[in-house]
Amino acid sequence: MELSDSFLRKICLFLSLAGIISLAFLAQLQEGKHLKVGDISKSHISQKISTEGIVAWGRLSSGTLFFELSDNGRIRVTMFSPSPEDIAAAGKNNAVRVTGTIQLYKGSLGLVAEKVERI
Amino acid sequence: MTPLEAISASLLGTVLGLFTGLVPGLHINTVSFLIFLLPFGGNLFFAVTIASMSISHSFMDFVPSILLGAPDNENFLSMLHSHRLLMSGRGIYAVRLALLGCLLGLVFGIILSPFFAYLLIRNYAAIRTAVPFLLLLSLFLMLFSESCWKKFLWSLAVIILSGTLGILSLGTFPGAIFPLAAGFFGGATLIYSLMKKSSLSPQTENNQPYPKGVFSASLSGAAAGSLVSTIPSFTAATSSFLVGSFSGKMNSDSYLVSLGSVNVSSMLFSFVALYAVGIARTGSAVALKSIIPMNTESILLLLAACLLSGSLAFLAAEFVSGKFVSWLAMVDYSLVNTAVLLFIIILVAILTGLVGVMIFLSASFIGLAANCAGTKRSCCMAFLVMPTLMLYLGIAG
Repeated sequence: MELSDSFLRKICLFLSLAGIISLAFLAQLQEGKHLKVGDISKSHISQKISTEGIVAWGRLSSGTLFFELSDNGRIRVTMFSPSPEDIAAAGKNNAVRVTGTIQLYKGSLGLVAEKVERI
Repeated sequence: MTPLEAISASLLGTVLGLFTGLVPGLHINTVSFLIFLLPFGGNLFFAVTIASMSISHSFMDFVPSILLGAPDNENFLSMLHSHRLLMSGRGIYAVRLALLGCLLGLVFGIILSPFFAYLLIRNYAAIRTAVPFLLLLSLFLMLFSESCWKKFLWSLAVIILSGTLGILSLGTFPGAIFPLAAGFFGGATLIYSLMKKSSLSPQTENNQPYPKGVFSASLSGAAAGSLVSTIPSFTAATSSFLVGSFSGKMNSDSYLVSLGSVNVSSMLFSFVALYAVGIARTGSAVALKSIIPMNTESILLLLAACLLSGSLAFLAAEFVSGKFVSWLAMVDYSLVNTAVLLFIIILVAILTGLVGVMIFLSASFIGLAANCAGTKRSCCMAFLVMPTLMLYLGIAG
């Protein structure tokens, strides 16, 4: 196959388009599948999800934030090394969106959060 | 992260990488820290920006390296072949070869990433054990590939001198790697050029067709890139040499393609190695490790950002190199050489002080000796290989 500069430029344009499309698609994947709190089950363990609810209670211990999210069910959320914004967002009775990974801890389902936003 | 945020982060990183690549001595690690000061974006935004910046930098830094003789820490070996092409009026051709290698390295790197991750996860313990043997093998191959006993002795002297300078400098003076690499490969070439009073031949149009075997050269470059991203002190030069020794004789044009491929694929693989076994062999991988959890979703996002950034960087670097050559034709090349040499010395002095300048000058003269004796300048890589070897053998602390 003869490689020419104009062919390489076309390839680059094609690759950049492929890069844009895959970036857009994968960026949405980062948010994870959106689930209601009550719909989270053991089948979602290790999956990245986002969910919404009201903060029932929360506490900060040794640099780790713990709170409970309630909606049509309840789930305990853990966030390691939270930022001041995360801590503020997780105040009691606040409505928040949480993105993180579902994990099993001592037989109960929990959400290890990467992001907490007020809604 | 919204799609728009992801694309913006990648474009921002691409622009930053093009800038750092174009300015000799400006390293992406320096700019990585500045990215964290941005008033917008989150950790994932910064991660996409850093990955994109690293890839576009790997493309663009061949332009000053080849056309000005000002290499950075990663691509210094490209100078040896490209300088010859530049002096014979084929500077643009040299840049095109390196950029083609970068582009093919990007594509091969992305295609081979799953296999690389799989092999690394299964064999990382064995690879760690083999590191000192691979380092020794690379030194022996460099030495015994010389064509006559006279060159063999010169190579041996260069290896001993470079290794001693590396042992004395690295670990003793912070940031010594910059004056060492800049001296062995940049300073030596620039001083040699000035000594020979070489003038730049008129640069011909870049219509020369690409040599045969660019795909195999890029593929072996990607294989070498996987070694760089896994084995400490293995640079593009050492691993290219090692892979080249096993994959057969490569002409200097294909070698430039291979080096381009090593540069980009090693950066890409360093992100994959971080995902697979948690090791960070590049500054960018260290930055990524500190800000995001490396899971399947995030590595795929970073690879997509690299694809966008690399393909745009190819187009930008091709455009800039054309403009660069037109500008070079209008100025006195000896003056450019002198200015670049002074610029590197000033940069070394600012970043590493007077000791750094002394290290730079010592490295330059060892590189110059290799150049004058006609031996392989890759023997100077002993400055990195020997200190690492001593660490592995428990000779140094």
